[in-house]
Amino acid sequence: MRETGPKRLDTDAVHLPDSETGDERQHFIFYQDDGGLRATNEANAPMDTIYYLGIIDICTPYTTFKRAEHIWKGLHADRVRAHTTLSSSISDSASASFSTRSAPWSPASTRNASPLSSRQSCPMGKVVSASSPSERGLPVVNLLRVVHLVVFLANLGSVSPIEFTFKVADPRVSGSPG
Amino acid sequence: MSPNHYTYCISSSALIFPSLGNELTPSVKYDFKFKDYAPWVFRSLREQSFHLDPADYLLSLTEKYILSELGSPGKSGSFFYFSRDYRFIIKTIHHNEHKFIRKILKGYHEHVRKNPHTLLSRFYGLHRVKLPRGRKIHFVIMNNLFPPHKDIHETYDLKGSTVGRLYPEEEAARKQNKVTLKDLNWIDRGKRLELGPEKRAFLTEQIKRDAEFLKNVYVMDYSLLVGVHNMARGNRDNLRRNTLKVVSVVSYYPTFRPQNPVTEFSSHPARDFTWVVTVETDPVTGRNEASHA
Repeated sequence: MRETGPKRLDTDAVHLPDSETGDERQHFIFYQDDGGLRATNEANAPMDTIYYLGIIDICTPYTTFKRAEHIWKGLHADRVRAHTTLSSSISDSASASFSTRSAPWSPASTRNASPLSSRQSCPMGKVVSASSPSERGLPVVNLLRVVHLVVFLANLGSVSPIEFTFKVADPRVSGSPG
Repeated sequence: MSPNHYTYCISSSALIFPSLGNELTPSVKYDFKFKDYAPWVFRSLREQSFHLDPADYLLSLTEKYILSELGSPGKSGSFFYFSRDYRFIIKTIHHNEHKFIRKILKGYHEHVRKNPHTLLSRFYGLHRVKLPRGRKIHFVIMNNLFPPHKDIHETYDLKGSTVGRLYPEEEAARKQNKVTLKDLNWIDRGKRLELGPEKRAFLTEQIKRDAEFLKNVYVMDYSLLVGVHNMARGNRDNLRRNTLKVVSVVSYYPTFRPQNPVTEFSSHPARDFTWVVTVETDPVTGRNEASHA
């Protein structure tokens, strides 16, 4: 390609329009306000912010490699935040626990739930029950990690990430020491 | 739509420089091969589900072909390009992701039909380009979530996790918010999605359904991308132009220009049908990323 005599482009060649191009966004309720979703107050009256929201990176399946990465992060994450690693805190947690927890961006939780003032208060809905093992003492966490690792090794090659997560997550959520 | 529609693909090849071969370097059979996967499914997605005008779509992706590289926010190794009008994103994907999209395409199609207001990425096309003796490049064409005509003043990539989810604030200040912030930035800055009861209910319900779909197809590691436009600030900082990287790929297809008669093209194919690639170095990283492509 380089043999074809590349030309240097003036970056000013990029001209973006000042008004909306294309009208497809008008069909979708979350993209209707200037292509996005305009903030509203409690009386549903518009405010001075427009959000552009979307769920991205949806092409990564939960594979054995990802599962290993999950464990690895769980073993290395710092203790204060790590107490939720097995169930919900790590980004590549299994899809089951991911979709069932109440996400920090959920408007309900962002506005009505307790303010997320400190970092230790994890935004996930599970935080209260999930943090209890570390309050009771770290050995529980360590034990769970070992169990986690064993379950992981036993499950290598199988394709049931959801079942796998529940095995580990359930004792923590129910509050039993495992 | 029959099951075959989801596995069907169209392959075509193009010869750009027919005269390049000689005794020492035998001419290749093609200059690139192009594959269009599940064309009927994607057409249905574009036209019925996502309300795209077919002529519009084609024009946006072929008219001028000025594509700007986006600073890749993820560690996925994908390259992102915008269509010239900023409406579409072309994202190169790994072969595994490509296979995965084909696998879930049927479910995705159904989900989108049942949920016209879905927040999921909108897939408009899935393609592959193969260069002779070269590697295969898979890419997907998606919607650009951010609008062409509004500056985005803050960008957050939220996963609902706190592990490793902090973009250093000092660096964010240095780069004047031209960065993608993460969950802990969102929390530390006390950000909220300010939505009244009506929109809140709609959004919560839709996120729930979309997450349910992703759970069913074993997808994880997805994010909620949040772009914030402050209307009081408006477009005066012209962030859009400044955030566009200067690496550009340009192609000229004379046959698409009405002033260039097709007969002329066919009589002098080698002269007329040229492909110009322009590469500039990213001033920040100093890397010449487009040369890999």
